[in-house]
Amino acid sequence: MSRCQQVGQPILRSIRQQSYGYSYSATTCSIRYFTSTPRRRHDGPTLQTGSEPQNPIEAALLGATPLTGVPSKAWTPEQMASFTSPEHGSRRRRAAMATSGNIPFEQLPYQCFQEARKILAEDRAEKIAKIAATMIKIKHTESKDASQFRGGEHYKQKRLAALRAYVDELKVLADINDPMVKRRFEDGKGDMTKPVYRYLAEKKWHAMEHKIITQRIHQFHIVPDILPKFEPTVDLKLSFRSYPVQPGAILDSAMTEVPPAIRMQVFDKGGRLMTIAVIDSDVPDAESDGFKWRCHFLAANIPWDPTKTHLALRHIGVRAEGDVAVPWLPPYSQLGSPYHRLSVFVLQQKPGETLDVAQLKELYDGDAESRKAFGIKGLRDRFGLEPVGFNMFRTVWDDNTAAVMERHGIPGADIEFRRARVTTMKQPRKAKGWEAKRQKPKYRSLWKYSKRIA
Amino acid sequence: MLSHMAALTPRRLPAPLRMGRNRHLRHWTIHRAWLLFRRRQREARESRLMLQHQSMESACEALRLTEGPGTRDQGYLYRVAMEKKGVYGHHGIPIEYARAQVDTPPRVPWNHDWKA
Amino acid sequence: MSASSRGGSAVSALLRNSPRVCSQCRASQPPYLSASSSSPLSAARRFYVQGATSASSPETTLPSSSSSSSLESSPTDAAAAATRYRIRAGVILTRPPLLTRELTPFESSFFLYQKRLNERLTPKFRPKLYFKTDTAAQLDWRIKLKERHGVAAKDIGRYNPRGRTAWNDELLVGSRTSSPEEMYDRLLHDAQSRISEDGEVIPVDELVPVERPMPRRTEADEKHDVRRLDRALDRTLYLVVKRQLPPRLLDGKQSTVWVFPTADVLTHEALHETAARALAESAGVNMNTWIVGRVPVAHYVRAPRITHKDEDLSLSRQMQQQNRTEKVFFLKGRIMAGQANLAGNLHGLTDFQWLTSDELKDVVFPDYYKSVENMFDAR
Repeated sequence: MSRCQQVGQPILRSIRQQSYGYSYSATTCSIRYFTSTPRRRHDGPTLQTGSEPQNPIEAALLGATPLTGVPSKAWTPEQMASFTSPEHGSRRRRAAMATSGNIPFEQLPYQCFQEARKILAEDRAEKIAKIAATMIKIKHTESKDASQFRGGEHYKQKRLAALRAYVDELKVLADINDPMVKRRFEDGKGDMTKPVYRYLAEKKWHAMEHKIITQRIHQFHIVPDILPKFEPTVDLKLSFRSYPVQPGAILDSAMTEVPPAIRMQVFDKGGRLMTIAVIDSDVPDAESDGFKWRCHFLAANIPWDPTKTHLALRHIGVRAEGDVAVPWLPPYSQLGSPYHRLSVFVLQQKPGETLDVAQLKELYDGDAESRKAFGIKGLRDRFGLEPVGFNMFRTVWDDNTAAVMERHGIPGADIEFRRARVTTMKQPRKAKGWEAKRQKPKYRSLWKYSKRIA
Repeated sequence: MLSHMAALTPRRLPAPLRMGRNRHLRHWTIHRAWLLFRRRQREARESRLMLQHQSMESACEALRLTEGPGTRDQGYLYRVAMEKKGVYGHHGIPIEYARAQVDTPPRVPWNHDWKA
Repeated sequence: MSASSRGGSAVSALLRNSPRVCSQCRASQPPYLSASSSSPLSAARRFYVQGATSASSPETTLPSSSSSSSLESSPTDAAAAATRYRIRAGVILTRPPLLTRELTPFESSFFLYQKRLNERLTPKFRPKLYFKTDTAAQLDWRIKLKERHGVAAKDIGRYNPRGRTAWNDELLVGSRTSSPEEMYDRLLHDAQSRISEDGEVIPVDELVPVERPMPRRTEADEKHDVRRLDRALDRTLYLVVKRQLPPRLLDGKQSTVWVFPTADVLTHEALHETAARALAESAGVNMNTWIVGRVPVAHYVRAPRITHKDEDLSLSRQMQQQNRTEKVFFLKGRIMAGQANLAGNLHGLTDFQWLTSDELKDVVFPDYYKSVENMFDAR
């Protein structure tokens, strides 16, 4: 007896022990369809029970014969033999591979698991019936004339939107308990066109990354420095030279010389156009003794939907759709100025509207002054955009900054910012004390003993 | 005795459960189904209680709008029904009411020969 | 009703300069009464409402001496009211479930699953703490432990949480280890004493079996004897009685009807007294019952029955009285012991049944069932 068979013995024994009474039909565990996504090819009747003296499940659990009719990955004899070798992991893992490797996960013949799946499948059927009923209601509402509603067309649209939101919610609820959905999402293979995966992704984002971004917005005073009010709804991550960076990290200027790539995930369905803007909000301004903004990058009309995740900013207009209005200006920070906050904003354009890139270029892509006229709030108000995504990094003067500025023809690498010396407006204080008193001509006789000050 | 106390030291306690991926997914499925099961039970109980309350309420409302019996004015029976005198407190509820439900019946499930 | 709408009705009541009456009472008042609010009839009708009103608002337009006016007006009003409808009170006598509900397959398998997980997480059973060495009890334990293949727990089947295959704790489909019946069997088998009084091991064929608990289905269940109270022990039973329909109402299809025990409410009675009387008059006194509270749990309104025969004739006063709208208020009763006995009942009842709510549906009229179904318990 091979080792995997030895390990499989308890399962077999428990089947034999309990095989009286209930006539176990393997069909009970194979006809339940649970996932909404298509399963592996399933052809022919599931099982012929009773034709063999031995229960086919028993045999299959021991890996002796593959379960007929069950969609399976057939193990070759070499693979089967390899399951006994320790390189495949623990004894338990080897036994699991050998005994249940060719039974699909949903059909694993575990009692509590199968009973649980029955409960969940029942619930899913209920939800699907509700979806069907709501869809009929939506159709009925659509076919009705707006004058039949008390509030007219506005009320009709509101009602339709509410019904559609309810359908989406039901779709999430129908699939949320499916273990295969969970597995696919954990493997990153979730189909983002489906509401349940979007829901899971949003939940995961809210669990940590959203919290971090919100913290950065507060601790770096993005609100209210750049925008008076802002709540991110889109997951946005940055990577420079294919290194992912943490939000708010201080980056080397050699690293940020090239535009970053972004990873962006939207959680609501449908396509839309996006605008991406990078703004430096800490440009020192010596004349006004304050700080100004500067546009480092601006691109508009980038199509986006939930299935898209990745975009390199340098590909916009070349390999990816979109129009660059202001090309990438490497972030730099002159010697002596405090760290610069470089904020990456993603703004959603109004549905069906494209921005006029020529106008954007004219406004912001000129000399240094026009770049300084840039502001996220102004952009938002002028073009009716909605800020949805945010990420940021910081930059300070470092060893590579001078070289980067020289390569890109940016003047001012030799400028060092210093705090202007603040002179006091008070009158100088008179000298006080025993010595100062003895400086007076009245004490001339003591001059040879006292110290001469002032 | 000392050895028995030693049985409870952390060293003798079994290790926390470690589950493989498939096993954990099965566990998760079972857990979700259990939560769903409990939820449905709870909701069924709540809706049943609500129905019972509504039934009582509508009966009381009908009673309040009822005149009689005989020469009594409207709502007389309702006012009498709302009186709480003797409803609570000692002897308000008979002791036999506290019979708990069990899994299997007693030898004689019901006393049919009870006499007043 | 939202707060704002309540405020609106309060303001409109003030503006109309009408007495302060709650909106429900006002709504329930017929329009011809609200037109002349100082008429003696309305004073009598709104007796108890007005009592509260005069205390709280002195500016009310109603006469403050309500008792005198109501006394004057009562004879005529009562005559009108008495012809309007007949008030009856009934009792829905319930026998509560004596047994817990049966576990669903998911529950029983889940419980076993959790028990085995618990076995994996708890310290080992230490028999030395419980059984003194070289005693009959220890010997007994050893024999039983060996029979259970070394598993200390009695109800988790053959599973060793410490061994090489401790991970293999999931039960396979088709196994009966998790079913309650199987668990009873195992516990009963385990309860047999394996050691005689003189310390000898009893041979297997001489073991004294432990008395089994009674089955959940009783003899009355098997025979479907609906008059017995020891049937359907995990359901609530309701008492219904069979009443002969008056000959005037016979429509050829049905001469009898199944109803809950009811009686007319007498002038000096409250509902719960009538309910108790109805029960005693219908089903005898040999039942240990308790009327739960004094509040009706359901009501049934029967419209007057007018047949073609009646329309032609001018009905006698007696017939009119019979043909009024009937309002039946049901109180809830509990039976703790005893049995119904229809001998010598005053309501012309011929039969009785103890039925579950599902069985009731097939027996009573649909509208009758609909009016009481909300008071039923889930099982």
